Amino acid sequence: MPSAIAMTADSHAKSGIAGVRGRFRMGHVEVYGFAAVWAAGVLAPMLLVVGLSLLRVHGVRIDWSLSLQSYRDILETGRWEVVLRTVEVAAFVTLICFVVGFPFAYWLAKRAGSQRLVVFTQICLTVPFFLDPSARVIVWRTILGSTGLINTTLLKLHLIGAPIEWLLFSDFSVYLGLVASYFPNMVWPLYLSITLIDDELLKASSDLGASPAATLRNIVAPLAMPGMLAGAIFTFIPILGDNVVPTLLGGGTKEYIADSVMNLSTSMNYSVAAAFAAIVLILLFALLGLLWLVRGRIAGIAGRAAA
Amino acid sequence: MTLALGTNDGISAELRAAVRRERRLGTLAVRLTLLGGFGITFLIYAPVLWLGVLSISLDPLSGFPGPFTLQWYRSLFDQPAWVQPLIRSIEIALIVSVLCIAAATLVGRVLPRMAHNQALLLGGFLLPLVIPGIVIGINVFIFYRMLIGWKMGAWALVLCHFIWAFPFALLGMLVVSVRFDGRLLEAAADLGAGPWRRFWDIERPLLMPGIMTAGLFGFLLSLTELPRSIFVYGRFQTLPLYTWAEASARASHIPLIYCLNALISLVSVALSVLALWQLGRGARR
Repeated sequence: MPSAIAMTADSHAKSGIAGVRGRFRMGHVEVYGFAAVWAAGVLAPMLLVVGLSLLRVHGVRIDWSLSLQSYRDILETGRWEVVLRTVEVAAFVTLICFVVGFPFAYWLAKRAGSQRLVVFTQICLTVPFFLDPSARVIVWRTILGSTGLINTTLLKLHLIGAPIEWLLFSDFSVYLGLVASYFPNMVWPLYLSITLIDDELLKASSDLGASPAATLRNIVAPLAMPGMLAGAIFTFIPILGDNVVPTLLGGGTKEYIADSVMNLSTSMNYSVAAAFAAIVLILLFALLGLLWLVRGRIAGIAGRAAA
Repeated sequence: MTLALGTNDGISAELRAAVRRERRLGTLAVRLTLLGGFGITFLIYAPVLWLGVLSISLDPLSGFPGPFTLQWYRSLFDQPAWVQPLIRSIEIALIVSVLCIAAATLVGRVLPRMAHNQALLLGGFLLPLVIPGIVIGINVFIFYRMLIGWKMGAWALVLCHFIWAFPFALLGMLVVSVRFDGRLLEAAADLGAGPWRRFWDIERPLLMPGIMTAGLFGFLLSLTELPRSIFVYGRFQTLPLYTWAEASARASHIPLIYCLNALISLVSVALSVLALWQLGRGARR
């Protein structure tokens, strides 16, 4: 009799556990369902474009035969220079954002002290994502132009005799516009990865006599590496495709990837446009692969340290 | 003993000097850091403020503000060419907002307590964050227009804006939902609440800041979306497409564009600060 009670209790407990598990699984089906729709409707189109760039395309009609024609076009028409130039500009802007953004993110994560200041800075670095890109960028014209704020002020102060021409429609204005547009993209991943570093580690390092430089090199840099790579990806790749800054501040003398894609799409040359998109995506996946490797390595280090 | 003390004094003096030097270097480094970081932050906001100043200047293209006037705002209301695009933008933004709320709630409330595939799912959902806008635009065009053969238009705008906004909405929801205590749902189930009751009476109120944020993010990101829209709008011209066309054509009525942009920026800043404030409240709870 007691054993029967025990058994009933046991089966009750079991069904209870199963019930809890079942409840914890609640919603999983919906998530996987949505993930399937997302994969089919969003991610698949992104990948299929790589395939499409290998097909012959006439206008919006696809001729189902393999061809490297669009890539040959990019090489032969000198459009590869556009890719190189864009990569160079994007890399340089990413570097500027990193050099300024890393110490800033570190300060924000570890040194800022006042919580109110941190929240204020966080808000300042988030609001730009919600601003109309062309509204933000076009105003630079009235600041940098030959009759703009800077030139007018300098002329009135008799510091210059003639307006400075290289301020607008130049490499300078493109760099300025890009840095101002993509700085938050760099700071956010850096900030998040640095906040995850345990303060105890930093204290231990300095207690053991390491200089700030040594702590930076041996503790902060390796642990913040995923954030650095994520910041680089989140800055570099979107800049590769930015169309607003080059169009509004570039002055049309130099073409960037986005200009090419837009021109190609206007002239309905979709296979070459797809090839450009494919090049950007391949760069993206190469960098994401690198990020994945670094994450694995760091997880390995952390695992060994814990063991 | 005296000798030792003497050296000690010498060393401590040297040490003090070194510490002072370090500290000076430290303050200099901190100053440079803050100058750089807040300097670029200033470069983000200065144009937006300048936009506001120019929109009330009589001759905004002269390089100097003033004399101040509301003339451009008045002519904005005399020339209502922008009203139709604005209405379209708001329609699209409302749809995207509702979609973001639904999808971010669906995924965001469950993802933190999933045992498997968490990183894979999150990575897949966040991937569009790092794909340039024009690449998404051209890809959606090529896939849906060329491969499937659907005509571009409002639905494609909704799709593109959703692709752009959903990762932000999901992140906003996750900030709140990772702090959600799953035991509350267990307790409710033990007390006999069905799935819908558990969601409506427990999850919905506790996740409300995340839900609001998802909706506001979706609305704002859709309202100001340009690079993806360029490729897929068909004939459905939204407000950013309208101001973009006017701005890149260097049209003569550019002062009107400044007014319009100033108004949009004002609304965007206000709504996004509201969203972040909401989110901060939800994250602290």
